[in-house]
Amino acid sequence: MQTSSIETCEIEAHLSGAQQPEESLIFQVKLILQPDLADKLRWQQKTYRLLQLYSRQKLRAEILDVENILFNDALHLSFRQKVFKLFKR
Amino acid sequence: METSHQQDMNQRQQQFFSLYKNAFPAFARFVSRMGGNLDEARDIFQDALLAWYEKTASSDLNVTKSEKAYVLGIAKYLWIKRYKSTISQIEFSAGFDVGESFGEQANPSEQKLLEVLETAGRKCMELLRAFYYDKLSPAKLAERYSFSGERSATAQKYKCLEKVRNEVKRQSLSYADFID
Repeated sequence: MQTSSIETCEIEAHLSGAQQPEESLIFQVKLILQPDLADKLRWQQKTYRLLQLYSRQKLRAEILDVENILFNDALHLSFRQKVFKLFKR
Repeated sequence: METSHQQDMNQRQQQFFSLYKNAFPAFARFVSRMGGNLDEARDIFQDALLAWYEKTASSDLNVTKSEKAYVLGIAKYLWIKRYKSTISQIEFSAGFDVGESFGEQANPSEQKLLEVLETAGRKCMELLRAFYYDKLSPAKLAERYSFSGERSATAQKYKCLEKVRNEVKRQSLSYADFID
């Protein structure tokens, strides 16, 4: 792995709590001494959040496709009728 | 020839289809009895399927024996949490808590970033999604993306993570400049 990737891997281990106590301590010292590393950690944390949002949006789109088939396709008329009947007032 | 990615997607779609068809009518009946409407039921059920997927994708939970009951449990829990927070949640909370962050939407700046990231680096975003969200192993990742092996897949994953992280920083800073 390239040096920059090793650093990215270390940041990931730190953020996920996968480091041993002594590794974590050394990493915390590095964060104090290397502002650039702290900056990378901040943006990597943001990247994980964005990846989760991205993944959920993609998965929701897949679920919506399934929902559209069930609520619009002629093959699933009995499913629709069963559901619509429940909300008739 | 169908790729392994396409096969995974088709398999997932079949699972969603089966769960929707089997579990949604029971959930809709529950929502109707609680005074809710169809739109609320559909909205919450989508969240329940998302939560079910995230739980089953992670290795610490195996609910294959009663998937319908599990999705139904999550859906009822989420519905009560959102619309009837005053009702005691004790009956539904056991095993169905999906975490505080669940259901959070992207804010406008995050949405803008997501659009840029998808346009500029869709391949990396999909690779990272496969690893972090779908919990694919490095071996499966290597197979899907035709890497020479697990080490190569892991190295590529970190390269992508760095690339996206740098882009997130660049775009975030220029967006901040734009709105300041």
